[in-house]
Amino acid sequence: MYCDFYTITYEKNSIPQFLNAIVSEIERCELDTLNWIIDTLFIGGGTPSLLDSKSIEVILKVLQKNYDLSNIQEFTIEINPGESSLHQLRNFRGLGINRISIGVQSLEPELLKFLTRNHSIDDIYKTYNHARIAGFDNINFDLLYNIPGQTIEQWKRNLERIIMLDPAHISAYALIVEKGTELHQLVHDGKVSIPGDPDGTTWLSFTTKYLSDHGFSPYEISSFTQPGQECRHNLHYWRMEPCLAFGPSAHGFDGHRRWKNVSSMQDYLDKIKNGESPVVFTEELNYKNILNEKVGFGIRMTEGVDLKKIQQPELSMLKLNLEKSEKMWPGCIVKNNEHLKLSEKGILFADSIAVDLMIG
Amino acid sequence: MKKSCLRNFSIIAHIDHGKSTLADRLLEATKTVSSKDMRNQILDSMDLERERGITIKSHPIQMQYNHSDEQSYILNLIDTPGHVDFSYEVSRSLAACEGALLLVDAAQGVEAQTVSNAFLAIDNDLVIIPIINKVDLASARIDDVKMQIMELIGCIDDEIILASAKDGIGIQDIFNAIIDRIPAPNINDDAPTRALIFDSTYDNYRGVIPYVRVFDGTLKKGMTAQFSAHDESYEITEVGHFVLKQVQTNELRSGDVGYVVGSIRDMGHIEPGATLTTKENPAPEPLPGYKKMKPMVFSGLYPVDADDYDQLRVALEKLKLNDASLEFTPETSEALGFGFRCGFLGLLHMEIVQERLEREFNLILVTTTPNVVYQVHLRDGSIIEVDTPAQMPLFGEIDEILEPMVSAEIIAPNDYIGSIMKLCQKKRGKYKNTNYFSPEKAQIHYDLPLGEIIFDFYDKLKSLSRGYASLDYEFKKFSIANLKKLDILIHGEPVDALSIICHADDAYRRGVALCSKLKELIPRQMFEVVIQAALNNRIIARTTVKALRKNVTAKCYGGDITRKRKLWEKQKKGKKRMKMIGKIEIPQEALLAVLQIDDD
Repeated sequence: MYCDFYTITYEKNSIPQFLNAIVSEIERCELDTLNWIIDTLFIGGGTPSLLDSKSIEVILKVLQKNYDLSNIQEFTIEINPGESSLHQLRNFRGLGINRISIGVQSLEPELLKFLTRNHSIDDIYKTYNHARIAGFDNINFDLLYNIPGQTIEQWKRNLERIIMLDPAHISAYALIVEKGTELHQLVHDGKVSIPGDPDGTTWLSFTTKYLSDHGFSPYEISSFTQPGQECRHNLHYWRMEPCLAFGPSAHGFDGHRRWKNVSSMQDYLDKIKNGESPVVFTEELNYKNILNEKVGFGIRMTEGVDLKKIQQPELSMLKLNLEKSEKMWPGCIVKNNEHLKLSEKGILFADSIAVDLMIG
Repeated sequence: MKKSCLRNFSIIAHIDHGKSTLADRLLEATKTVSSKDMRNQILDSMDLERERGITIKSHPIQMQYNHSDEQSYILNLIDTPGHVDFSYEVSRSLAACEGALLLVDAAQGVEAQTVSNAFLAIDNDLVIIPIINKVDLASARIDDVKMQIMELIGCIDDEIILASAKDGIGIQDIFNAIIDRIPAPNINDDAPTRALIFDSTYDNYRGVIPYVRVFDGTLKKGMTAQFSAHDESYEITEVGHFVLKQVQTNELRSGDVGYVVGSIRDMGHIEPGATLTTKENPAPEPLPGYKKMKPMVFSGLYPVDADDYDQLRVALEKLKLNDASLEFTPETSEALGFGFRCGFLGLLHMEIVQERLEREFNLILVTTTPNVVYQVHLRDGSIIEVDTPAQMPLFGEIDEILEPMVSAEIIAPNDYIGSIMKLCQKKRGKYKNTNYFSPEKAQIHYDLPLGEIIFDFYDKLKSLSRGYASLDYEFKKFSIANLKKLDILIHGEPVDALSIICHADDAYRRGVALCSKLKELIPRQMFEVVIQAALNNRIIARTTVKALRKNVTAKCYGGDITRKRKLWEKQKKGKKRMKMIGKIEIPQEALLAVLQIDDD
């Protein structure tokens, strides 16, 4: 209900067709990746854990045939609590998957119900235990705050319990009300209300402080990690590094061009079957777009933006905006040694500051 | 070709009465434009003119017309603007003609610029051909409009041509009248050369190109052009006529309308209204030229990017070439940096200048609240002119302030007289008198402070009369008024670009309204912003813009990157016209907030 991206209902008999389609898409891909070093794989979006290990193996094999996978260091699968058996998780591990991302969202039954999540608290613990038994030591939990009805006390309690499970990584996002979702309608009609920031602090500041105090360092606005366990795959996105993508609603980037596949599963299957490209949107980025992405996403990370890597004339344009932004956002922007970052205070306004830094 | 076969004329009308459409028909009928190249409003070559459906600039064009007497005639048409702000443009064009087609909409009848333009034509001793346009409209009131025209210019019924430019009705009658009624220009090719500069353009390769009407003598390639206004001279490298584009000819002779090229680089050397003569056959006396229009509305123009200052100066110089009524002087604002104080004929003129600067010269500008020019009598006996609130002397130094008054003429159907008078009264108007053009149409005269009518007066007039009332005005005199400077303070600091001068009785209400409008227009910043209005250093209103809410951290993966960047870029675009004032970012709309205050 709160996701505005594509989800699909599980229909077992459509899986073979889907597999054929994705295999064809991978085989047909003509992108020149000779100079690429592919070091992360990510199976996610929707409910990938519904694919069994056999299906994933088929996809892996075709990938292996077409790409050099010998440099893979991080191979993640996203799963929802309660959807994968111990057996399946063991098979995943056997395929070389070494990181698991569990969509926990909340440890409060009534909040899960509000989020129309089908899993129980028990499912969360069961999946976590199975993952551990299957040999996963790189586990991420996805958590949500700012849910209608949620209190900061509940949130703190949830974080406490999650930390007790010693995950490698925690992703904590605010629930946002996207236009076109059911939640938007409910908020619009006044049937539910978004809690907003608690007194004297913000969800983000509280979360950042609490997790830092417990050994999870923030390295991106919503990502917290134990030492050395940053999600390499996401870092690729945020550093604007190239990425291949297959399947319905997949988004790829080759360094200059972004593209998006058709969202609907049926349309995707039809297009592949008819020999058509599943790509429904492509966009050539100009130097300004690329810089703006680097800056906008860069300042959300603790590593910030390396000004030394930016060329002229964009650098001068950026510096002009930086000068102005430093005045408008006192105490928010940190610049040392040609490195641009946001302070703890600044991170709370990351999106607004991004707009001011961007070149027009 | 014999000179008797030449006719120079303009089309004059109130805005929207169909000038450009009539011009289109004339061009079509004379095959000046092939039907393949024909488009509506063909002479309105500026995008801005086409988008707004108005003529801003005069456009000269030459047509060849084969008359029923089997003679071929050369017709020079100068299309003119109809809006009150551009009457100067009209008077320049009329000075180059012998006749004018006075076009009146059959449904709207005589309106304010019909009157003012007709008087301009009469002042220039032009033959006027009255035409009622759009006669095929269901709402046409031909008899009543005929009566109004006869009352206005003193013609007889038979002289009025009935036409519909849109449907090509009456076009032949118009051609006949142009040939039969408009006199051919005098021929005196041997007299000392005198050509009236009525316009000019700038070409990057050929320099300033003056548009001229030759009254006496001739102009040819190789002659040396001299000017009445200064001592510089230029060798003429080309002369020509206008046929949609400039077309080179051997010479321009007396009576001709055309252009002159002479590698004139200094834009200040060509001023409309000046006389061009030649070294070969110099004229001792210049042509009368025309009365210089004094801008009455002033506003600051500032580049958003301070580096564009020089570019803005050059752009203003180029614009002034064909818009002599535009005035500008450098100005420094504490809040906005370096810019120019520009003088305009009215608000539309101001808008058009800003838009042309942005489109034609690729600049991004902010404009400050427009104001009129004030005469301030100081205690020490001296008198100064103040065209920006920032220049207003301290309260204690002022003896009295005088504001410009205009005599305004409003033409409207009788039904609306009551509400029009109410509006004028509210704007501190002094009633003069009412005349009637016809039993249904009244002409109301008021003396009004210009400062009260430059803002929303025209819009209000239009809306209360459902579009039927029209307005024309001219400067009358400066008169004493109880005026005050209202300061706007942000974080306790007065912001020069936001202060206004207003009537004392209105100051309190305006201060309050300005504060609340600014609160609406200034976006939330990282910190709370305090806005105050002050009169003689006393705070009369205060409001605050709350601090910005924190951003929300949503999930952001591969698929969200494009979407997020696009959202940022869209927001960036919205902030294009923001100026930093201290550490606060103020949008263009806030600088013009006073225009948005409703006084109801």
